[in-house]
Amino acid sequence: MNNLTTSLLVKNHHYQVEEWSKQGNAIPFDSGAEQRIVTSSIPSIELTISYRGLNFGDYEAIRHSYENNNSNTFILDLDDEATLIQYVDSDYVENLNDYVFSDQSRIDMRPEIMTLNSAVWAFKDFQFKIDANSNLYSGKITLVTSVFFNFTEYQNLFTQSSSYTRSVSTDNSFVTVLDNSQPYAADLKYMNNAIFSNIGKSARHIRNKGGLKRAWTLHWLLQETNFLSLLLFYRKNAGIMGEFGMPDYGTGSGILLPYMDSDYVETQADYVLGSGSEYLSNARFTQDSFQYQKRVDGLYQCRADILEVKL
Amino acid sequence: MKTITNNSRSDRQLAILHLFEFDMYNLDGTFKETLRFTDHDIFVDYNSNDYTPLAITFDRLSEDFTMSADSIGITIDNVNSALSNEALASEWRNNRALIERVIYTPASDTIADDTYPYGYGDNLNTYPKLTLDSITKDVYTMFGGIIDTFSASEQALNATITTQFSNWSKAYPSRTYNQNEFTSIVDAINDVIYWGRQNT
Repeated sequence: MNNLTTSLLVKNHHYQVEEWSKQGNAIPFDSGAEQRIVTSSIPSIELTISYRGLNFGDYEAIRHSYENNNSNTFILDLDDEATLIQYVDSDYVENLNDYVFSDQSRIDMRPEIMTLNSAVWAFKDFQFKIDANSNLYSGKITLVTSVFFNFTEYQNLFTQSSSYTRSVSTDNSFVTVLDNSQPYAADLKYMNNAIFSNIGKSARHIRNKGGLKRAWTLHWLLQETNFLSLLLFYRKNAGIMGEFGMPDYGTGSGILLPYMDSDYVETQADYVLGSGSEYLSNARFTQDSFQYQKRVDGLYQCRADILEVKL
Repeated sequence: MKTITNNSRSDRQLAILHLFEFDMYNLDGTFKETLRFTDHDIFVDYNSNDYTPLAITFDRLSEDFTMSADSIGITIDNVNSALSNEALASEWRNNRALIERVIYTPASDTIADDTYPYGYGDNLNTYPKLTLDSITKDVYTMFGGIIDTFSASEQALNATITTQFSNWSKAYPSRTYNQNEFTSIVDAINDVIYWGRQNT
């Protein structure tokens, strides 16, 4: 079983924890007395880890961890935080001590008596965002505890593994449009059709159905000419009509053209980097997802949801 | 309502788990194995048998007007397809099914110098499981019967288990016949009985 402690806990800044302790219920009697019933012994935790100020390399490490373990359990050692250092450059955070630090975490107590083989988790959600303002990544992942421990008797029951293979495209039509219509922000998500079972609130078995897809929401602020070329492309390719090559938004290198006139934007680099014609995924617009408004300054603000399509 | 003895906790905090047993037969009618599951979150060891933790739920027991529980639906996790594969390779209809309820006092565990009255279990370093043999408990049979019908989806296997008493008043065998077969059965009956008398 993979141990993702290093890749997931480095450079996080916030935990949000919801804990269900000793699942159970209560039966009231006519006397008003209650009989409380406990039905499982291992507390369940849903943990949301937030990140901000990540560069592409940091984000890529987390994304790889997610893509390669999207539908299987993995080990995460929350006692391992003591080795963390500052999570972003000093020019980003106000205070250099602005990070999560703990000598010994008490969030997950399972490894203390059941060894690290019991500190087993599964991914529930993955959402990141990059905007042109900083060209840095922020986002969060949500994990749930699993009771499918990394002990032989448990692992003998079922084999879990998962992976992600990009649906490769060579179509450059959308990249051509994006040359002039560059987004100022991109949301980076996934759609997963794996099936889960659970005991109490903890994940039990997960079966990878091979359907992990990348999903993007692009945000634009465009002059009319560029907007109309984007709208034209959408009208030609929306719905079931067209699949196209979607660049890997959020990469560290790519198209370096300003997306609006220099008299409007503060800097010419005010856009989100994309991979250009490299690393194209076969994708299409999510149905009726293109929304736009015309503003009083004559610019068009718009967004669209795009989903990878498996060939 | 079963009487809960003083074996369980007296402070009205009860730990409960259920044990499930299903006898599986080969399609040629010979005994194959007994499947043992529990709805607890770790393995349960009872009478030297291991019960595998699985997501299992079952309906509330309902009684008919004769004051006997007639049948009960149960849903078992089938995400790994192990159960549906087993169900297709062997016969478990008309074979023994058992649900037992265990009310027990959990053993305590000491974690980082703090003692928790309700601990995790035993063999925690190597094989986490709950050993029932050595702890205080009440065990009683909730439902004993036979598997009547089942259906499986990718997510879950649903089965109806029926008390064996229902066999006594069963008009037809649990197997169903298709229309073609039914015609031959009617022919067979008509061959012997003609207008309410024996066909001579």
